Amino acid sequence: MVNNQGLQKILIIGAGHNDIGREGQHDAAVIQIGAAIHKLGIAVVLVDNNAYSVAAENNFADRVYVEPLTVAGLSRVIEAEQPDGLIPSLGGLHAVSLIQGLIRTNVLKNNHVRLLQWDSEIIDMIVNPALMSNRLKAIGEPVIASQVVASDVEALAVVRSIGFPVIVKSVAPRIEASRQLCKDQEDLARALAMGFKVSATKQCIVEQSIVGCKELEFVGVRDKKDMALLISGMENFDPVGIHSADSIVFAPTQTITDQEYQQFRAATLKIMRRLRINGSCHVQFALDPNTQHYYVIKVTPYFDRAMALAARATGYPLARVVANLMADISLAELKLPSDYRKQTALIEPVLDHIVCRIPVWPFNVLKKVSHQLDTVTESTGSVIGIGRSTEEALLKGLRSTDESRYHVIANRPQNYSEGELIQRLIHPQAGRMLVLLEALNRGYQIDELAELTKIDAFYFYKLQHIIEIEKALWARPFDVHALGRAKYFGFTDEDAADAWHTDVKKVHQFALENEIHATFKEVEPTAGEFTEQTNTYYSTYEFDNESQPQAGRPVVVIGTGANRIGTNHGNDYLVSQLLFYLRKADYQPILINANPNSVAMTPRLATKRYVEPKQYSDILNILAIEKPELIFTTYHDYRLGQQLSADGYSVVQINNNLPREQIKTNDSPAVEVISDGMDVAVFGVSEIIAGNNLRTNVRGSLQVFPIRDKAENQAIKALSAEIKRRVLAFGVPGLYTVRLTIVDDQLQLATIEPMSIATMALISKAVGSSVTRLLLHVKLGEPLSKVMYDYPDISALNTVYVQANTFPYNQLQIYDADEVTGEPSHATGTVIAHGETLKAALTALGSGNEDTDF
Amino acid sequence: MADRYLILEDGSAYLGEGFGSPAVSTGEIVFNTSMTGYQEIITNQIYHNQIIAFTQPTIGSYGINHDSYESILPTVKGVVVRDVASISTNRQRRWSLDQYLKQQNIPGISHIDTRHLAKQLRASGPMKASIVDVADAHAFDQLGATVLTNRQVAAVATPKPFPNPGTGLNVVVVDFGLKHGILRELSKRACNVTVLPYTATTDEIINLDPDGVILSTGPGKPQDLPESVLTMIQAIQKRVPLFAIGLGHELFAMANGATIIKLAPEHHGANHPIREVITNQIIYASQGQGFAVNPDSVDRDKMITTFVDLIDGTIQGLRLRDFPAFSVQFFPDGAPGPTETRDIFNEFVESMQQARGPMW
Repeated sequence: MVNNQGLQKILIIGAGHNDIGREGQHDAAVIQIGAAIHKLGIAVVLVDNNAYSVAAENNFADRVYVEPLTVAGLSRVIEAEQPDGLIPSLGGLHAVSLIQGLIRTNVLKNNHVRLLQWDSEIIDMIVNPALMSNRLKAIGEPVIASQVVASDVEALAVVRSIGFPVIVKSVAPRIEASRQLCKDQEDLARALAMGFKVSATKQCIVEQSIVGCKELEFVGVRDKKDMALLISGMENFDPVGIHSADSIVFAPTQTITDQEYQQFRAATLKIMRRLRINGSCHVQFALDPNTQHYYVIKVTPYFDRAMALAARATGYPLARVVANLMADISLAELKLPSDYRKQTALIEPVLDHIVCRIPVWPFNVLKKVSHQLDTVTESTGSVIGIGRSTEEALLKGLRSTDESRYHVIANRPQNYSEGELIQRLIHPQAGRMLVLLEALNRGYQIDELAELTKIDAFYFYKLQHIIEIEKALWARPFDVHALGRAKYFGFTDEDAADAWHTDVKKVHQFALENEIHATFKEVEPTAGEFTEQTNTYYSTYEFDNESQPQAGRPVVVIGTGANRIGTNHGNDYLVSQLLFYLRKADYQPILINANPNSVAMTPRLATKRYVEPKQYSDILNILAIEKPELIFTTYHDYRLGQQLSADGYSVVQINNNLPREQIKTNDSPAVEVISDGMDVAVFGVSEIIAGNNLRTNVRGSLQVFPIRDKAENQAIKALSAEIKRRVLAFGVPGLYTVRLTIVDDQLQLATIEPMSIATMALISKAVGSSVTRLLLHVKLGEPLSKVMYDYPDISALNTVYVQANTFPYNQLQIYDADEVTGEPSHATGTVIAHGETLKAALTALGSGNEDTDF
Repeated sequence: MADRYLILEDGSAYLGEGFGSPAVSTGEIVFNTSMTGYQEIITNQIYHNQIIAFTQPTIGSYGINHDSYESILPTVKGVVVRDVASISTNRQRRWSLDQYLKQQNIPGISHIDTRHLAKQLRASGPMKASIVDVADAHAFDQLGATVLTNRQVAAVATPKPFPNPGTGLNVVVVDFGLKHGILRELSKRACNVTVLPYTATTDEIINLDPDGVILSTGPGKPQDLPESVLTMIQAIQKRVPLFAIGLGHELFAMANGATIIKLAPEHHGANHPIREVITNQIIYASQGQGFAVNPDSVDRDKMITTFVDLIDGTIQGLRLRDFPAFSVQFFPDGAPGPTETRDIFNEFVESMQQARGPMW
């Protein structure tokens, strides 16, 4: 199909490094949208400096620039590439403010680059919420009272008219800044100080607080011809006042009436039409449950977590549809792959399943973060549970967080005092589900709890039901009905094993003998009305199973699951690359993953997806159907891999992770190598530079590749025989980092460890060719000669790449020096940059990242 | 709750849990894909003698609301769902869905694999079905022997005229199984409404001096209604503005020479794109239909098609070329479902104003 605007080349600005609120959802969108746009015959240019961007590798874009995300950096790319159009919605808020800069400096105009999807005023409205608020008011949508202030005195004047509590947020924040709830003058002063500091205009917005209302999120799409439809309505379990990223969210809405639902649907479509948004849009609403009066809280026309959830929950091909809309192809004209029914883009999604998104927290790593849930985002990621009842979706979601065993805790009383319990009910903390269950266990009445917590009574009935089912399970060991009922509502073999003081395998066997089988259903957008093939499944315990064994050479890849700080950041990149190259190698990869923001969930990466928790019994249910040739596990599922291996499955365990510890003082060179178990090949030399050797405010360390110091390289060459001997002694094919130390001016081998995922990304980006592909093939038993023959020659590189971890300290408001250490285990993301010299590369790394926590 | 069975004419049986009334009942089973509005759907009289299977997995989550009834006495034969929440969180914590169905003597059955059921019905079209306590040969014999009435309209339409007073235009609504949403929309527009039984004659209608006439929604097959209804429509459409909805639309088409076909499967939901022919805009609407106007039978010299369902190609709206008379197959009042179609009532009001002349 020819696009309607004669577009030949478009520019996409990536989201930059991951952090809190930015997981893989942007990169996943770039992959899908970039590919779909490319299919329309339009060249795609991508700029990103995220080391873990999957879109920036594998030829997903026609041209990739690993450049600083600054107005200057983007201007250079625009001047060199001369794109016809710019897509503004895939790089989050940061990209939007960069585009504002590109417009103000006339870069777009001078280079004849058309801003796709939005009028330029949308950019200003996103950057400055007060403009958005005025506009919404002008089109007759209710908004909350708010005012822009530039000083504490002005702020106090506003508070005198609207009264506490108020919300304070920064105008044009240079980082994704939080909304702060202020209940008194002290809170206000603190929030204003922070808000003014991060504001580009040194202003804040003070607004009326609507804490306690229900929070609803609606996502729609609209095309240039003004056709609009709703993709999904979602409901926050927690009331307004807890950031929606930190709230449990259900899709579809659970407790609102049709009248309320239709009012939000109509408002969402109206807002998209009146703002002339071409593409998708996320609108957040607050609903006063007593009066049915609502407010529009926020309009987000760029890709975000709610859009990712809407797409995953409904199976609607959102990214592909939006890609067509970006090229000005209308909803009625656009063509979908043959897996979808012809007019699926036009059918408003309806669900016959329930999706529950649950946040995961950084507290196990960062001890100093406040556990109080409020308007500041603290979750580092989320997981979803899909089921055919609210209970099942909730329990599967909780299990996917693999945080604690919420599901059995209900019967293990917490020892809070009564007063403490009430405090925790009123002032919610992370992991509050335990508190709610405990309160129900102690006999608190549902109406009373709904009043205290402002959580709809419906959910308490559901929690009560969960407790009843669990009690029955505990009371009746090896009772078929109790087990059947428990599994029907989302409990698992592990729960029963715990309750019955027995072994999971025994319960699993007992269930199978009594014909309690998991059945899998497709996640698709028509509730069974039409045939759609999304190849995405979830389990439940019903009559009909829809998932047939995958044809060809099926392999199961166990995905990353919840995105946590440090320990598994970057793992999703590894899994995505594995899926991509498994498919290239003619395997049919089947992914098990429950993270809606994961890049690995991108439809084109795996052949088939299971949105499931990763407990042993869940995995067994899937393996029973798929009978894969191989199973791939990564570092975090090491034990699971061992267990499956012991069960007789062929398991390939990939254990590349993070650097074990932080190198604080010495700059330390390392040799990066690959081994097939018989031979060893060297990629080159990298070096870790302790950050505080460079700049005092860099807390983590930086990694440089390749090091081209002649003397050093020669010295290393002299060690090559020993390196080879030591690596082969490991015996396992894989990628390794051989660390060196200097003893008496002499380089010596220190340690050998699996190459970190960060290093894998660094080398892949520097060379422009994925080392994960090489890793996969040596793991599959192929010899180096076959694996490495077409890998580019690294010694020919004349550019130096550097990368640094980024940290969430500012976002989480951690200022305690004990905790602000820059250890790799605190990292949320990684930035990459390059230059002709190390100095140039370091400058590039710093530019655009002035407010980044390195 | 007790184990109960949903049994189907083709011999299949689903084990579930009973809720609502413990009665045994038989009807034609259809599935509805709406995501919201279980109360409106259950109380819509188009489902007279039918069993509704919801594909939306949880219903009952807020109980029964005072302002969500589409009729006073619902006459569905059963409610089939995966999961029912028997609670009430509405303003007076009054009725849960379970209590309401008990009160109305309607059985419900939960824990059904409704996704599988929907796929089965999608292939087979509607079938007779029963909600029973035991799924034995006797139950299937009973089901097979049951003959469903074809006098649905007579069973649900008002036997006597009643008013819904207002201060504006004078509207007569002919009741074939009226959905309250129609009255709600007319009330919003201040219309003075008289609802007449479907047996009303042309004279009875015209004697009320209406500015316009609405033919309401209703259950069943349009061909089952007496010929006199068509004669009445033929006379009325020449005299005053006419707006026909649902079953009314099917009758309006028949009165103008079109024929009606049965849909297999029936279509109940609000997710289909519908094209408004004149503007080429796509809208969404609340739909519930087992029948449709045969497109080949429409006399193009006499009528134009105003709305088309883009998924199944069914005619969703018609208009007479020579008279201010038009119809829609879907429910323009929503309830439940999209509200963008409510503007069609404005069109009706405008056509009445125009017909009355400049005085208005």
